[in-house]
Amino acid sequence: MRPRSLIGPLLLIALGVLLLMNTLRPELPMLEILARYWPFVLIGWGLLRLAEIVVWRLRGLPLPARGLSGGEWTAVVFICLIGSGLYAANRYRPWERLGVFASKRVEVFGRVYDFPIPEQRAPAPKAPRILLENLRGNARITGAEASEIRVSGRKTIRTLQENDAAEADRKSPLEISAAADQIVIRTNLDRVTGDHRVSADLEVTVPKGATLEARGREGDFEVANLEGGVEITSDNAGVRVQKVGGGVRINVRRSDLIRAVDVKGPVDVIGGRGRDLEIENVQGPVTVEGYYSGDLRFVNLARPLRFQNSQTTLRVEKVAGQIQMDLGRLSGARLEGPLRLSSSRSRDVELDTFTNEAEISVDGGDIRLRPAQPKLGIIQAQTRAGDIELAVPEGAAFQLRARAARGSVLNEFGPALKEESEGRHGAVLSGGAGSGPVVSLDTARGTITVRKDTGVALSPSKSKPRAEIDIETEEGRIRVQRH
Amino acid sequence: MDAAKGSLLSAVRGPLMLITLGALFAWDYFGGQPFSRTFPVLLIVYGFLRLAERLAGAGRPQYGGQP
Repeated sequence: MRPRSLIGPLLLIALGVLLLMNTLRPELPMLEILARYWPFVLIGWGLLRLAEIVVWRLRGLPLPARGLSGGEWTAVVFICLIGSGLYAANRYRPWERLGVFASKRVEVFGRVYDFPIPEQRAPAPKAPRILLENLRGNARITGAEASEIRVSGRKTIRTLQENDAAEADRKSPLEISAAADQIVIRTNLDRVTGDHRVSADLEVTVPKGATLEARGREGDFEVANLEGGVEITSDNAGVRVQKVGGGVRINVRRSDLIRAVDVKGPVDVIGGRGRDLEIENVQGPVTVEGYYSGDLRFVNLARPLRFQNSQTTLRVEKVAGQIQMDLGRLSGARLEGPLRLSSSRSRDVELDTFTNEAEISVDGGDIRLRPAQPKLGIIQAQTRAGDIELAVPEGAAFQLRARAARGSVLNEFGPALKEESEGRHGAVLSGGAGSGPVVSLDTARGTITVRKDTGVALSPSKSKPRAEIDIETEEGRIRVQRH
Repeated sequence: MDAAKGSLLSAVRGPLMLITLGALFAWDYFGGQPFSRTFPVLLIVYGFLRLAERLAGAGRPQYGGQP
């Protein structure tokens, strides 16, 4: 009979002991021990097997053809992957850098203790420069007709024991210090070390003319009624800014919502990754960088808008109406060009009433355009897979070059445009009225429709067909859609 | 097949590789060279073990050869 190994049962026993230690003695850092010492499991396993083989050999038992079976090697690979993952996580502690939690143990077993931050006041000049440093926690900063700064709030400390919480509270007093016209508000949370998770929620009232610079690692900022500029830097923050006289600069690595409303100066948002973004009523230029997975809304921007990340670039001279955008769609109304959109993503684009030049290039998706005035600018629209629809205003002068490399063209404009087929599968629509700018529409696969603008807004986006097949026939292509 | 006699070297190959693997990781974690630099040691150890097997089995018929 082939001898059976003892390794399997031993590994099971070791796993059981580890789990038991974790439940009975939670204060022992089992995960950290495991992350550092797991390679010795492999060494022990190898030595045990080696000893077994020697014993089997001495007893004259048949030896296995291979010292470790395929299944055992699979287990080794898993142990290596999980072990190195644990080690890397334990060493680089990405959660601490994100400020999500200081320690898993405190997070799971700790209790939350609240400490009020008693109100502190400090005299301030009319237009002070305020620097707010709060590592973790939310802050609401409001401008008011006052000649002093008022700060109050609440500190939340999560620790294993109440004594530790009181100690952490003592170590992190709120400080307001003034030098010339600069006033620094500091919560000193960084002085608390060890297994504590401390955050401070602040309520700050400042003179209306103040300029604010706020820094944090995690926590939301709400700023309202300031005549100076606002600059917010954080690793992870939701930011709401309203009624600001100066410029707004928001630099956050992660965010769930960034909102800037009624801003007189320029707005710069440098967001790493975020969800929603709303920028409304801004008189200065707006620059937005970063990736946003939710809804983006730009409303009433008097100066140029520039939105950029590695996949999408959008530039608009002025947004008199609004632009709404998400990962799969961009719709805009009452926009002033030159307007430039290029996206390596697939995206449906719908531009209603825009003026001047427009240059649109998307990787896929439908493009629907409705220029506002008869005086057109140069229009270029390009998609790799999708339909293009252009509604030409009454009396517009233009020269059209529309080409569907694989697909069809639909002339609802009139006899001024000529339809020709190109190759076996393509079609071209060209012609124009008067001597106007060139309008070029290009789809690699899809239908191009050109019609007269009948004064009604673009019909609401067609629902995407649930299923779609193309049937090739001798005469051309038939598209069957099921909605 | 004379498994009991001939396969001692092939039987210890797995455990020895495992010990080497664990030792390299442990060396990395306790201040030695990082595993990303030392992993070729695994190939060398494996090569030596195969070599030893070949040399030990040189006097016996090869796989696929005539008995």
